[in-house]
Amino acid sequence: MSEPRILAIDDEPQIRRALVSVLRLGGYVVTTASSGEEGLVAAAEQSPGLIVLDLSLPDIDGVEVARRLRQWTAVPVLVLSARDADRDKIQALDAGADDYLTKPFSAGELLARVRALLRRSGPSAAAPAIVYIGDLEIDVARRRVVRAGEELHLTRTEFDILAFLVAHADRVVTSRMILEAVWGPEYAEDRQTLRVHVSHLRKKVEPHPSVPRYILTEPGVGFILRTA
Amino acid sequence: MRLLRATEIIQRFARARQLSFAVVTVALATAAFLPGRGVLDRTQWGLGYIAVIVFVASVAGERGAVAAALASFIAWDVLFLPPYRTLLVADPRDWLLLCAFLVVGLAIGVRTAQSRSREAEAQARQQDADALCRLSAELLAAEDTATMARRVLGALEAVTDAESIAVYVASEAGLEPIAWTPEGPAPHDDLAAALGEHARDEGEPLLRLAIPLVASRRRCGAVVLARPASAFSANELRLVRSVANLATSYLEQTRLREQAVQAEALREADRLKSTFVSSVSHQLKTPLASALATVTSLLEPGGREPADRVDAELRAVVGDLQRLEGNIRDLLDLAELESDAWRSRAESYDLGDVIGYVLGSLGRQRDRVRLDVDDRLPAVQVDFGQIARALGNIVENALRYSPAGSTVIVGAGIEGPWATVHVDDEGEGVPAEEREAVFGKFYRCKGRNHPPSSSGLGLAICRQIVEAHGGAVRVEEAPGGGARFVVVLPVDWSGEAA
Repeated sequence: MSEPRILAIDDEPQIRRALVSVLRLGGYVVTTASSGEEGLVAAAEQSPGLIVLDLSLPDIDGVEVARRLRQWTAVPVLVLSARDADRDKIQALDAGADDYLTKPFSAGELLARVRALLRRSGPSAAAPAIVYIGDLEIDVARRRVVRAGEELHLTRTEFDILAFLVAHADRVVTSRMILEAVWGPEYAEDRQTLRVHVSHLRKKVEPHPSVPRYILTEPGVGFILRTA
Repeated sequence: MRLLRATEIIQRFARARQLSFAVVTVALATAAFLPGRGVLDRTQWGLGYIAVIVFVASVAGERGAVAAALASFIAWDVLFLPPYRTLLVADPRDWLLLCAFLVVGLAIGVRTAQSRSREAEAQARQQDADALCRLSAELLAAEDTATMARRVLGALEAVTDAESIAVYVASEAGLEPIAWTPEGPAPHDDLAAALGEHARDEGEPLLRLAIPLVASRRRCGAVVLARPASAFSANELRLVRSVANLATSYLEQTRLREQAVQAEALREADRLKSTFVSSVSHQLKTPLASALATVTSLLEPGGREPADRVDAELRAVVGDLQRLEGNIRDLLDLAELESDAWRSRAESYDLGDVIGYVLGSLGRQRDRVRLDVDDRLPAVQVDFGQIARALGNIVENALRYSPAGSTVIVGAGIEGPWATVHVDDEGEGVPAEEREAVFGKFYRCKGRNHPPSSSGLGLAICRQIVEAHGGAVRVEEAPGGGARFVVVLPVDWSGEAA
């Protein structure tokens, strides 16, 4: 299989140039678009393996671009955002973006995120049967969580939340994403319920009962499962 | 005492009812003289009446003196110059006497009354001058406008017989009554009308006296006096004006002083701003200059020899750029904090949740941190991102200012109404005299090497965030000798945090 093609959508020429040089260094074929419209057309014509999307575009908002892409393709979308635009990040993730990276970023960071996204979306991306996080051993298929040889008793909801986080490990997920996946779309706004269940889940899986190490709150956005 | 009072009553009566007083006095004197009519010569009684006229003149005044002279003329003529009980006189020479008596009596009486009233006036003026002098000293010492207004009121009460007095001072809302008499609710005079009244011809009798206080072409206040019966005299007007002038100069002086204070505050703000601007430009330009110099040196002919130099130089550029990014982030944080735009995002969170996030952002340095926290941590009502930034600054500082590989202890718990977090390092600690100053903007500890990545704003940002949450942050000595930063936040008892 040839190296995947990556489409970079950003209106800033300097950022485009930097993205091209970094991604080429990673061995990818890179094409660019400088506006939302142009990007949507390029995405349809070129069928890239991954799209790097800037949120502040001159014509269509990046969030809207992500939403329109999701209407017809499952291509991984990595959002680039200026810092502190929490609301933009949530909207982008809820609209279907897979991950986000804050400007300024280093080449290493960008390549690591790209690799991770491509790995998950690739044809050989069968989820590993057992995931290890710290001293936790999570068997998603058998719905078992073991710590130091001892099985932890999670409720169905707690396990569903954990499984969703494992499937999105090291990526920020919004509260809405978890709520929709675990409870269903009609519960998408019930953040308080989610917080209570996450709190119970943390008490069972975290090594230190009061200061979480794995399941971290992502302020203003949602949660992230840290595996490293 | 009683005698003094009686004299005073007589004097007041004499002045108010000069004619009656003159007639009564002459009648009483005549009654006293009559029994001795045969003892002295008839002409000698004329001298007695001159004495009576002088007495009346000195006590009552000019009109009383004239009345006393006429009454004495008649009484002497009728009762002491024969034939008695008629104005006719037997001896034609007595006509001469009578005419001379009338002229002399009138002259002496009027002169006496005039000099007496001039004396009284001088005395009154002296008293008024003393009162004004005392007032001006009191006004100068008045600590605020309300005190000044009360003292002006007191002075006006002393120098006039006004029934009601009000002292107004200008504020942004217009003229407001500050002190008034009689006691009771604030006067709701139609002040504008009263001031307009004053503008009329001053020759008219004034039952109400309204004087605007004007300085530097600004109306800074007004005094209004009123009484129902008698008009205010020219002398009262003069005194009220003097008092009003004192009040005006007090108000003007106060205004100028306030202006001076404001000007001083502005100058201070200007100075701070220029310090800030120069610090900021230093923070931004230094790493930029360094990166630019390094990169351009690589572009010079032979700049990339030997080859491993390129790596080292580029790493230095990365360091510069990271430092630049950190400084920009800190400055943006500070700008955002000072704009107060973020406060509405406070929610209830477990303190441990925030600490977990902070430690999760440390990367590899996380391994240097040891936790010393209670099993249950309180909830706090906070803007998660901001408090995480505040705690993150402290933890990063601790890692930065302590030996590589040494342990940083993060502790948390609850003390009374406070949720506490403390961060201990094994560094040099902060000397007692600098423990307050380290929270200032761009502060640098004396005699210490600062890592280039420090903007000098981290702790200032931290303090601003924590204090905006109703908490406090301080630095003390850690049990191990390093620095211990302590953050306290009010516990959120309201409900269950997630």
